Amino acid sequence: MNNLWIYTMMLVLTIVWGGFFTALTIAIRREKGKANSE
Amino acid sequence: MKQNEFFTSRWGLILATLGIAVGTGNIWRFSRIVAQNGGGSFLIPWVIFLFVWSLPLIIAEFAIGKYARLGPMGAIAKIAGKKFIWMGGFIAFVSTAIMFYYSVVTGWTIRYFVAAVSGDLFSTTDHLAYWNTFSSGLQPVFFHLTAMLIGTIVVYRGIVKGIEKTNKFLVSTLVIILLIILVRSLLLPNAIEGLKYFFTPQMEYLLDYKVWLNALTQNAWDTGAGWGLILTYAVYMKKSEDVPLNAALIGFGNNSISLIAGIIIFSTVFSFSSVDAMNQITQSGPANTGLTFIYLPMLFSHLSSNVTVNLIFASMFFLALAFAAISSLISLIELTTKTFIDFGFDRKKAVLIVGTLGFLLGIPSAINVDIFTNQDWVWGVGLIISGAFMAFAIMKFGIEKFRTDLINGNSSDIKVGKWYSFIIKYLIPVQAVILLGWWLISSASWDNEWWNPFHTENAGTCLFQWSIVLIVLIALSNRFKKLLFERNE
Repeated sequence: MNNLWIYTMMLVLTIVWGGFFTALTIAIRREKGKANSE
Repeated sequence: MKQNEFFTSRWGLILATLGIAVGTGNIWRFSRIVAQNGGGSFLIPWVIFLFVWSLPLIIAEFAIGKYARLGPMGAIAKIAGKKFIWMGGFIAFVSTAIMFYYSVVTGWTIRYFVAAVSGDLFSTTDHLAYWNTFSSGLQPVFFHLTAMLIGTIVVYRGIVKGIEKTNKFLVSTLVIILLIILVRSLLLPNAIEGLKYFFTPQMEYLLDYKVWLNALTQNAWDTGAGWGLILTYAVYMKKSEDVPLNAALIGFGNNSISLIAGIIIFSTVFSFSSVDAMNQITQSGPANTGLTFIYLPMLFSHLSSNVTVNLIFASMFFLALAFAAISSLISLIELTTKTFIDFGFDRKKAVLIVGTLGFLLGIPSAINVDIFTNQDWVWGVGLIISGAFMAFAIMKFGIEKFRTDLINGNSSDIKVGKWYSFIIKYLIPVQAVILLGWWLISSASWDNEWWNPFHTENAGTCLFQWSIVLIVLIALSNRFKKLLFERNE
């Protein structure tokens, strides 16, 4: 139970920060794809 | 009216829209609400409501603005039908009313940044007295004027040279500053105790319905979802621009910044005194300012034995706070300006009217904390109605058509599934009704005369002010329809 905060932190950060960086990675790839096709 | 100005790039649009979402609510309100609701126990429902309130409404705003190419009033009329123009009018009015007092808040942050840079902030040890002296004088009016002037000049310069360029600078600088302070705060002695409190879930809090309602409220207030602001910026996105992925970047990006701010504040607060910390951090203080303007300056003054280092960190913190506030204020000014533009005003004339009105109508909140608190209460709760009106507009348009044509169009980078229709049709209305009912009913617990419209924070004052606005909007809706659609069709 003493380490519960670590698991919660990992869960929250994975969802929120993970969600942001996943979306950012997809957006960067799409933008690069668009630039290459032009 | 033909749309002729657009954000130059996807990154310009995203940074500008992040500027809307990231505001003072991420920094001062989030940490206080986490502390009052059992630390980690709050974070779990807070993450859940990101998915069932904020993200669906951010997607909706992007899609509506991009399709309608009009501010909230015209956009809601175009989506839901012209007879519902008053609903769009209500959304626009709520955000305009928030602009009047948000400019005052922005002024406070600028004042504290100036005080930190000049060293004046550490000239005293009694920070409550310092705040009282500042807030009871005429200085808030001067700094409110400064904030309105900055916002007005940016909007006056237009979308690309003003809003896009300024937000690129403000938001990227804000993130860099927060990351620097994050590293410093994590290196403080005992910072781990703050992290433990911030992330440890306590079962008794997790089972408390109030924690869940506070988590929903925080999502409704600090992501900017349902305010009509993202809708207004989406008017200026290119036709080839994606909706759902951009919305995801804003929702996750906003909450990521809240987490950074939370880690900074809890690490710093707990590094000095965990017993005193909990008493201090949960105190609202006047106009909910206790933590930010009274306790944090005290903490910064004890950060190290070197006063210059302490002043540098205090200056950076208040600069970040001021940047967060200014970027949100710009979007509030733009929303009202865009509404005037839709009615045929030229941008420069419209922004001058909005700037002048914003300054004059914000003065009561700048000089009287009860008026400030009343307006923050009435229009803060009013935002829940704005979110519900947006979901209603989508239902009138046809949820499936909205999802397939407006969200998942050719330009979309990722596709949104049928879960979206379920959330808009059932979860948003249910959440709005529960939240609205809870806030209004619970006001009776702190005010016996809950019906009295002349009290600061109760159901009566909300119902009274909302009714006046709605009656005027409904009475004038035919005139609005004629003026708006004769110009734009």
